[in-house]
Amino acid sequence: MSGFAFIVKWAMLVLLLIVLAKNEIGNRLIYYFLWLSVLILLVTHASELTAAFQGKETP
Amino acid sequence: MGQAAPTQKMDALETLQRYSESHAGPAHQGPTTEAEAKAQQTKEAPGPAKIPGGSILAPEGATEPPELGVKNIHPEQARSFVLRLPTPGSIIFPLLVLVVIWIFVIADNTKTRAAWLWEVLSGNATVSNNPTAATPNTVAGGVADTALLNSFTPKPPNVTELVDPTFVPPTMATVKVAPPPFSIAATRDS
Repeated sequence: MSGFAFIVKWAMLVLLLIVLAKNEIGNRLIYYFLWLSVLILLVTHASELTAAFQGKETP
Repeated sequence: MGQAAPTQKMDALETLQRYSESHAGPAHQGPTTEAEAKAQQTKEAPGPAKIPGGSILAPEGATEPPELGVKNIHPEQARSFVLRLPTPGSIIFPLLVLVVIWIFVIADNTKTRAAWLWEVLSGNATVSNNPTAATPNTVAGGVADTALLNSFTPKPPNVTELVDPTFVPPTMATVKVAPPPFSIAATRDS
């Protein structure tokens, strides 16, 4: 993927999110989508996070 | 002391009534004639609730829910349910949480992104496209280093590719075993 395509794709995604966030229903959708993202991020990194908090090596 | 005078009681009632009228409209008065009572009865006949304001799927005055996949749930109900969902902290709060966790908590190549940034800024690590075991303190360049930077910065010609496209650069092991006695470019020139 070229640098130009990389920038355009991210810009389109951010633009879409901004447009959605201005809508009253889209705002709620994005809000809970972001919390879901936080949850998924923590769950998918659960083992290494556990190890890090226990002071052990990453499994 | 004792009970208040009747005139004072009436004044208080009148004041209360005026207040309630000014805030909730005039007090309900029952029908005076039979015709009025009949008209009121037909007017307040129970029936399906009207949709206030209407919507795209259910225009003003629509009473029956449109035929959708979900029965017994009107689009207006679903819409009002979504709109009643609370969003404490607005969008900024989950966004900040996501970014902070991604930068300061999630480790990439044994270190968090914040730690790698500090290592690179303090000169204790370098950014490379090919981090190997020989360069342990090297963070892999992401798309910003590979695709994005390469697209904007002029790329120097790859001498190896120009001389021989099938040439495979020798690894450290092959160099130790059999170091090439001459350079490939010199061989091609002669």
